[in-house]
Amino acid sequence: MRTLTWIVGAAILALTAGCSDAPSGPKADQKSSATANNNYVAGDGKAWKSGDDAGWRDALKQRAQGQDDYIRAKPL
Amino acid sequence: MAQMKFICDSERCIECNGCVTACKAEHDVPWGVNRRRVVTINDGEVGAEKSISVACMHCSDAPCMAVCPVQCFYKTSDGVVLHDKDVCIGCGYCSYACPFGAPQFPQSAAFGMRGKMDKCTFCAGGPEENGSQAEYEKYGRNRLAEGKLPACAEMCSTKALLGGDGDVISDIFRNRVTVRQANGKEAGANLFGWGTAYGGKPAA
Repeated sequence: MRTLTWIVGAAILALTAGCSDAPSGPKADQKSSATANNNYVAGDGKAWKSGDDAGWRDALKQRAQGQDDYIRAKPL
Repeated sequence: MAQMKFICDSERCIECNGCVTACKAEHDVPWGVNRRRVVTINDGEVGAEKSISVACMHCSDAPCMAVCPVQCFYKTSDGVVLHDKDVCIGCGYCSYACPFGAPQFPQSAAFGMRGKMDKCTFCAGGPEENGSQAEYEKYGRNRLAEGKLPACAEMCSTKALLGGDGDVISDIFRNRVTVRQANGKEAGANLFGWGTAYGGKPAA
């Protein structure tokens, strides 16, 4: 009886092992403030230091103002 | 904390498809995949024809993320919904869940076999090194890490399509609405296309 219990237990474990695999999920990503590793960074990368979240946000906010016609059309 | 969003102003969009072209060129998007497209309704009806540019809206509570069986999606701290193509199995659940038709599937082989899902990344690439060749080949350019905004919005000739931090672009849009109101145009939800879409004013 004990042997049978062991065999059934082992079989259940073997059958359900695949079901317990956790989904792998995505790889960890860098933050956008980590400067791109190429030659296309705006302002030659002087607008913010790589990893500086606040500096990056400010640089993007500044750039977003370029979409405002009322700012662009202001007299100098 | 910046939360990246798109707004498309249906009063300004002229259906030039500049945003679609900019996106395709910037990311070398394969034939048959349209990360962004322009939708037009009431074609030919003078004064009633309206166009709007649509792509992934980077939802705050994204349904694609909720239904993905392999959890390939993730949301960046800037509110951009991205996915890992190494994890995606190309099942297509996300395309059924998305109300905007954003997820696209390239034909990868014969008999219409589809490849891994592709969608707008808000020009933020994917989980490879920022600006690397590997990232470019899988997801396209990472303009955010280059200190730039999405190519579609920056290339929009009438500035109908605005992209960037939600607070900033909503300020720009609010200013437009105020000016229109001052010039006698109806303000409020109608300016967001409510009347065009639902045929009347929203319930008070």
